[in-house]
Amino acid sequence: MSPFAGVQFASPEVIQHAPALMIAAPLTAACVAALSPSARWAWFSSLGGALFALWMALCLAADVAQSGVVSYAVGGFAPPLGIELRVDDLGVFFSLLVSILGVATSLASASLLRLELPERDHALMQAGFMLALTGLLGLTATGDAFNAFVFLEVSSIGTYALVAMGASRDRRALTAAFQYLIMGTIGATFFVIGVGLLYSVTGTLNMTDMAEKLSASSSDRAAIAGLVLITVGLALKAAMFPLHAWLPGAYSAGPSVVVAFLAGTATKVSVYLLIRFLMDVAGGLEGAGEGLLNWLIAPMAGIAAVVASVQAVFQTETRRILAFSSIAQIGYVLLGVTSGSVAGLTAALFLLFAHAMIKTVIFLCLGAIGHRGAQLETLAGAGREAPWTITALAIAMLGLAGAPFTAGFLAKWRLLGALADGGRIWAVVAIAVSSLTALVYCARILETMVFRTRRSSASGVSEASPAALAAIWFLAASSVWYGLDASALYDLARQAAASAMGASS
Amino acid sequence: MTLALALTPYVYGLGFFMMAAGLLIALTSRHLIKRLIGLGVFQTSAGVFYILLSKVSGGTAAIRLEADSPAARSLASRLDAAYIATHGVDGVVYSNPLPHVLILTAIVVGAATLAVGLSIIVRIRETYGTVDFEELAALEAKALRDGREDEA
Amino acid sequence: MTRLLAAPEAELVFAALLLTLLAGLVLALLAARSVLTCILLMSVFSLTMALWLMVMDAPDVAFTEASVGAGVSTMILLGAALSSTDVIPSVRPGRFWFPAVACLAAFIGMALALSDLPVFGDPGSPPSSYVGRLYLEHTPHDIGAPNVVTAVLASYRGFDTLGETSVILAAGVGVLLLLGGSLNSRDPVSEDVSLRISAGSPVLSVAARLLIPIICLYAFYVLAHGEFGAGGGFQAGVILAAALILHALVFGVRETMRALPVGVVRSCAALGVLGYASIGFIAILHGGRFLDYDALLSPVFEAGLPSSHLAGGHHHWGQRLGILGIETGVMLAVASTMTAIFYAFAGRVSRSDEAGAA
Repeated sequence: MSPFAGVQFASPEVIQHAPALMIAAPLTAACVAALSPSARWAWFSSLGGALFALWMALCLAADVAQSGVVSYAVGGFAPPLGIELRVDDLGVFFSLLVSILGVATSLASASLLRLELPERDHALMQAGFMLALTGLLGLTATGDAFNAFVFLEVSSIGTYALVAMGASRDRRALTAAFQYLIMGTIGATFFVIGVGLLYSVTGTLNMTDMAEKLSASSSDRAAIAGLVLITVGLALKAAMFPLHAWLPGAYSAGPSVVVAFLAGTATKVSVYLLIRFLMDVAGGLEGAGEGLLNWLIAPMAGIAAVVASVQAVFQTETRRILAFSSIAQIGYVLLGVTSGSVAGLTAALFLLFAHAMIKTVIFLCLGAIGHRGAQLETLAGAGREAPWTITALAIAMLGLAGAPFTAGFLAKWRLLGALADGGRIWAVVAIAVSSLTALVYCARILETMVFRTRRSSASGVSEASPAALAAIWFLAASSVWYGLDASALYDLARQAAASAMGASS
Repeated sequence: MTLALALTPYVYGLGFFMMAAGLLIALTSRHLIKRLIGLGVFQTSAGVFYILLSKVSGGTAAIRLEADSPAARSLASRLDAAYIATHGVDGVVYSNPLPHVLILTAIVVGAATLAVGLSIIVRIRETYGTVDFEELAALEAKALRDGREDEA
Repeated sequence: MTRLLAAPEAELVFAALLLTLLAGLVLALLAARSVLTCILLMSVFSLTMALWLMVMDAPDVAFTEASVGAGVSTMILLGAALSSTDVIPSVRPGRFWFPAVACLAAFIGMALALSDLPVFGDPGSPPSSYVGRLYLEHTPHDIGAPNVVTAVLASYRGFDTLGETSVILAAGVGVLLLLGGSLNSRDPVSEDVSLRISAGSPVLSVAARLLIPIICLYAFYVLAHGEFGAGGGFQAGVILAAALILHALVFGVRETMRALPVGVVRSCAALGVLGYASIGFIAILHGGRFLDYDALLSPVFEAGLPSSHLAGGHHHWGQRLGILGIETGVMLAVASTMTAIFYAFAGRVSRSDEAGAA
């Protein structure tokens, strides 16, 4: 039973346009932010756009709970001629994730930007941020393969520049952003070539139509080549091992608010597209989707979980530790996705949601206390300067480590259970080894911040602003809440998983 | 049709070769600007593949003509009547417009990528004084070591 | 029969030959050791590509490739390359083999699909016989415009184009963030002699004064003509930006920036996208779906227009108005973003020249 069943967030006239308005709202906000005379107005506009998108995502969630699948023909042209927005339980799960994190990041953005960038850049930063939100929300809603490419680029092009703006804190942001641009564009181009191969076989771009045509087609080789290219492209975007080289640089040098948003959403939405293509679109091809999942993605995910965790231990910079931890987490999630059972996918989605919130909290905290040093050592004693922020950060770190009574623990526990039930002992071992390694770096970060005293007086750390604290504590408190009572989020994840697996069988 | 059959692997092969070559430049060149150019070739070649799918033998650009206009009649004179009847739309054979629309989009996306990438390169040159990949990597490795020593 | 099919087959052979030339250019690019050579090769590649696209019956794409690929891209590449080293050192073998093997694997992987790909020029292939053909059949009835590419771009797949316009805005935002720092002040470029072809040459200035209005007029023609022939908002936007760039080259960037400050340009880019999205909102307010141009005009108003309704309830006046509206938004966004990008690069070039002179 979905927690949204029977709830009505708006009048039916508004709800019927929710898929389009959810995407158009942040786009409008981006334009208004670019037009804004001051940083303050740009912030209001971005907050407004994110809130409106969240409202529409909630409307959509209620609508999907009631009617199963929501299909919206943009421009009034029915698919396959027109572009279809198609939102099911899986899509709405990711719409909610992206829009919640969008609101939280946007709430904290004004004070975080003030700490890192000159005032004249704020309006354009907000505009770029809203464009990224537009692209990611578009990806969660679209039912058209080429439209997905367009939104992939909407979400990326501005982001490359936003990451490069971290150069005011760490000049390595420039080279990291360039690497990110090259890898991101290669990923998107692989994706578009793959879509082209699928188009050459099916003659259509609508994903549902594509799946139908594929099951009737005999041109398996072109379709499989297309799926492989799409998988490689999305693996680049999702920073799946061994295509993750761009991520540590981008996460460690980018502006905190940008990284906080990206860490929670960008790689996650790529995982969503991967599920969409390999389970939905490939559903028509006997065994192709499962083959790719089992023989390409699963082994890489297992290696990622172990190797990235070990690499994280050997990093000395705070943000790089967290970046490698993100690569490992994508590994866990993909191990769940490839488990082939509803329980495994449910646990993977639950973990993905919990981890997205946790990582966003951590990066928001690091930015909100005005921490400019790269090395972990420079954070020594921060807990005394900024107790409220560091408490939230500590809660999030406990969640990341998988301590009991946090959402992170519950998610990992269920994932291990599902994998063990499915007989994937090697995956269980990989996650267990990786989690134990994660304890080492999580403990190190916690120890440095909370228990150690700082050596010099100029740490430059201060308590976060009220708006940033509100955003941070909202996310941190929800992650604790999901650790104690997971039923609402778990139900959402289970329905999302069921809708994805149902389509593939 | 035999000629078209013989050309098929050749044209697609060339398209794939251009993609691979562009990708190679984007991944290996030492000059950052050349990397971006390679990326542009990679993106454009993906477009070549789409456009190859759109060509219809004997077709014309997808701008609708009146069936009895002089232009339509001169096009029809080159083709077999049965061919037009099967594959034409209202008496004229057109190439497929959909890939054209998609690639128009992709070209603009490519230009946008290039603009952002070049801006980053300009900033890199101003900050590091070089746009050579190897020199940048060496500078970064040095900065990482220094950072560890300074901050520790 | 063979004689009748000769013309189409010759067309396919010509296309294959041009494609060979393109592949040769890529090979040359692979071997090129100078950045300037690379940029020129890229420019030639784009122009040849435009020619190939004409042979492949894609005039709209050819127009865009010629203006965006060969024109704008070359210009900003040259702008960025001006003050960097020209020689490209050779790659270390250790850094070459792994990517080379990966590219080879990608090539082989795609080549394996060859046997399943449609025959070159086959009218019965899935892409040409299914949705592509449906667009050709439905456009006169649904949209009422002869250029099917414009109909698909602006109406059937108008949502894609909205996303694409957002990509342009994102690029403009990104470039201004990265390079625009020095442009916001009152007197942005102190002395930009480096970018003036000739200071005060009367021939150039008279020619430019004559040409710029004509180029602008041509841009609007390309915009309005998009429904009937090759053209549309993107191409028009690039042409409009070309007029401004010509102005800057002849009269100096400072002069152009005084006439059209960077703040105005940035606002225009945002307004272009906003205008596009508003057409979607108006359609919703009139009871249609997002970007449904059929709902743009109120029925009362439409009734007064000649032959507005056709069988099937489609509204050609609304469609035409919608297409023209969004194409105008696209033109505004493209022209402003291109101008902003030019300002950003030009401002940097003159600044680094000053630094070099000092």
